[in-house]
Amino acid sequence: MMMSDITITIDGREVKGRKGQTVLEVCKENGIYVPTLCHWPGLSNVGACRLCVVEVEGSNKLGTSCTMPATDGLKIRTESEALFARRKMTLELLFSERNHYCPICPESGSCELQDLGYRFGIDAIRYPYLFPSLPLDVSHPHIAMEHSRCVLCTRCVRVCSERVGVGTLDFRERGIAQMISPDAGLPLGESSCVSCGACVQVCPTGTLFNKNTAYLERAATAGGAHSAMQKVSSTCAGCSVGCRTEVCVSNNRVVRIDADMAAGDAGILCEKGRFSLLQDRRRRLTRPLIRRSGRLEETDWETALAHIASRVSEVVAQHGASAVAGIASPALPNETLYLFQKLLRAGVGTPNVDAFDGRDLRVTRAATEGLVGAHVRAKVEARLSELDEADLYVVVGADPTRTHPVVAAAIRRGVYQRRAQLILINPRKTGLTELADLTLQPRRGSDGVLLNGMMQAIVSDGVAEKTLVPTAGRGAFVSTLERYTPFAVEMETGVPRDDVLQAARMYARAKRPVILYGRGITRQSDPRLIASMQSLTLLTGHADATHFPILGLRRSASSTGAFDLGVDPSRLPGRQRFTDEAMQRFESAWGRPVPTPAEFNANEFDAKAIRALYLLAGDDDLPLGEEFAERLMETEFVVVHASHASSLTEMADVVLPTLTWAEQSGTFTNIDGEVLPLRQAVPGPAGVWSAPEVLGALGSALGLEAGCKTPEAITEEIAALVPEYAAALAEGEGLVRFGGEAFDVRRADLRAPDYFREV
Amino acid sequence: MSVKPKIATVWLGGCSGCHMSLLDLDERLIDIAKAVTITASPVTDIKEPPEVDVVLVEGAVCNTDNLHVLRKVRERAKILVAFGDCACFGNIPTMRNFFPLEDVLQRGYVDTESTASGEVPRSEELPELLDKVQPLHAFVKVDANLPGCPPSADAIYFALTELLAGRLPAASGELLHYD
Ligand code: SF4
Ligand code: SF4
Ligand code: SF4
Ligand code: SF4
Ligand code: FES
Repeated sequence: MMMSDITITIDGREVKGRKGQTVLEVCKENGIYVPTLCHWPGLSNVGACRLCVVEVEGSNKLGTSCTMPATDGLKIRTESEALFARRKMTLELLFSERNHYCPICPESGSCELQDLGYRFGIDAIRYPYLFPSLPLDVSHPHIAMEHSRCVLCTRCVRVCSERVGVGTLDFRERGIAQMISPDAGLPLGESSCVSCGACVQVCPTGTLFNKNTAYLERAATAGGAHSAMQKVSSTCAGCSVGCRTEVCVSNNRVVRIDADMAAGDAGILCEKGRFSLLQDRRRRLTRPLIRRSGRLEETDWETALAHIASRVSEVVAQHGASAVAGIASPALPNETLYLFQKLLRAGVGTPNVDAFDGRDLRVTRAATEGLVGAHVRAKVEARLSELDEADLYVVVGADPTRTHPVVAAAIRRGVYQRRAQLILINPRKTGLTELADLTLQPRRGSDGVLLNGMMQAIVSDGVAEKTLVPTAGRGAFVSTLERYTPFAVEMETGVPRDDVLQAARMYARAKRPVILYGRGITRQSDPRLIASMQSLTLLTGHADATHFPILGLRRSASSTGAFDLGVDPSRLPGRQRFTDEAMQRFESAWGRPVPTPAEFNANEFDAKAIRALYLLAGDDDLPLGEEFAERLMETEFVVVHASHASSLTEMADVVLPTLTWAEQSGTFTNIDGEVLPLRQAVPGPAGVWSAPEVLGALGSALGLEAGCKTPEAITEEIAALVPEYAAALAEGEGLVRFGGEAFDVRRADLRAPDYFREV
Repeated sequence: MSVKPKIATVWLGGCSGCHMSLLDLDERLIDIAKAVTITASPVTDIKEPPEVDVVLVEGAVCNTDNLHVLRKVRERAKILVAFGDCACFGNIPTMRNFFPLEDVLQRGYVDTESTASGEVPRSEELPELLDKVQPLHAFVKVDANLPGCPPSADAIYFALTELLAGRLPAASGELLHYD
């Protein structure tokens, strides 16, 4: 929709705006400064602080520009002596109403109230101080709430309800004793707070602050500058959402992580991204370790790398290259992931290279290709932005409140603000349970039966009027579904038939539903489950030609990047199959033969066949399941490349230290297929090589031609071999679109996979 | 200028940090000393302040003696500068305002961890605590404020050179600090 242009006059200057904008927005767009304290981009405007007042021609009252609609022909003044005096008075009153002791305030140097005080040259407060006696709440594990410094701007209250969708904060008491209050009077630590810290970020004062890093920001500010903090625009390494962050550094230490407000997303983070990443309590590794007579001993890089090269060469000589395997954490930058698979494929000659969660993405691909009957390189799943338009969420086998909290926030926003509906399919209670309109708790492993049961209900109930099942496939499809009668489904899943029917109806009737699935589904490693979801979207007409409104919640910052760039035993970088043409291209680029694809799987490799394993964990806390541990124990030679000590490094024959997310630059590819920048914020520990340096050195030792020596060279090589990445890498960020064979999922020959055991 | 301007500094309810910062002017102090006559300061211990052109007052007003001295220097100085956060805003010394006076005295003289058997001193000789600690401008006219806890040496130098140039200092930019 085109917004009509309007013209308003600001300080005698005519400027253009759009209908629907506020006067403040038009001012900002035109670079005209108006002081604000309660306005925050993306939140509703409440006109609480009255600092943004402007003069309106033809009126003798001052108006708050943050709430004033910009109407055509409006004439306003943002600066005059009277306005200056009025704003200064407002500020002095704010200072006088609470207890501001800047010298002992953790936010001094990054406080908007203080900045405004400086801007208005306030050097004394003309009004008597009220000295209200207000409490300090430190009950929360991360957040302190010092009510004495609150200016009652309500930003925290609004962000908590409007963006985080939680609504923990509100106000209590009146007048001088008015306070923000979690859940009508509970200590914050005992409230419904989900610890996202959004309120801390938006708080303009030192009322809400991170109690674990308080004062660290001020460490470098003694005298002189108001603040010595450096800010680095980066991307959270915590999960596949890829929230954009502003990493704040003081004295070479990360002291704060904020949502990057310029990035245009929801502007919120989660507990992990904002707080936990600042509090890594694991033991840092700084020297390579090598196992000698059973014990890990410190050594130098040359010795460690030479040892790895010679052991790997021995294994290759004795058992062939496919006795070597590499598993990488998908939380690593794309560039490292690319180099890793190159080292394994071209340096060692083994096809066995996988990401820790590679199987999850392969299952989805297998389902899609099975349904479409074509090689699919393009992304067919939903994008995060669809969550903010959905009218129904179906969350299957996932608890995004724990794994992808910013996704959970989008769901809560949808439920509270757009009255979207929520169906949970999960045997377990999740953080969304209380919000759900309907919860189905199928027995373990019966998700497929339930999904087919929903389709059967839709078919027999006739609720999907715009059904797009092609006539050709319909007969077979409907007949496979016939066995999924309400009775059979109830027996198998334990879900009451009425609930199945209701879920089916809700889904069929929704306009823009999104299905989200997580570990509960991917863990089962069964493409049929994804196929059933995809069929459900087709049956109800919710899918379009190239896109299913289904979102697989991937594990890590670059799960998609790893999948895109060949950390996948069954595809070359660029999601390319091993065609002669592709293999030739890679062989000539790498100067080595490219091994043909393998059935390798990070989670289920055969420890007898794999004799040397290179586990690139980076700073990822890879969960070491019992089975995985057993496989590692059985593997003859294990290299663990990790930033911190863990039970994994304990099992290694060689341990290589590495850098953390904050200490390196590169890119991630998030769940949307969007390349996002990771930027170095602090230096790594002395003597720790970066992963690309290590992979390069190992490559040389294994006879790979030198190359990829600089970050630029790595980027160039990826761009040349995976042209879909070229633009995004050149820009430092951008959406990646894979082309490939044309297909129309709606022409798919639908079949409901059969889950019933043959009897 | 034939007659050098006279400057005094006094120390009320503050930690003397502002005076320390004054000493941080280092060699610039020599320039200042050449240009002005420093008539009294906390180190000279002159009970009755002389007539001066400028007085820098550190600290908030906590007791009757502070108030007495403040009124005296106000009478005898052409220009009175509130020197530091406590003088300008009240700052840390005002933190006792949240408690009743008796509790404050009890805490200070009796309950202190290092006190074995203390008692609240009461004597005609001793100044009495005011009900509330307040900044200078709550009692007298202040001509200029120089905030900072303490004001940086640069800010003090700026203020003094402004005063010597016959202007009332108004710190701004990086020279204006509340911490
Ligand atoms: S909140 Fe701001 S103005 Fe208040 S004490 Fe802290 S730094 Fe100073
Ligand atoms: S941390 Fe997040 S959930 Fe908790 S009160 Fe603040 S905004 Fe609300
Ligand atoms: S706590 Fe901070 S954000 Fe919330 S009302 Fe007070 S000053 Fe505003
Ligand atoms: S949702 Fe994921 S990407 Fe966003 S802040 Fe949390 S961990 Fe980081
Ligand atoms: S910003 Fe407009 S009233 Fe606060």
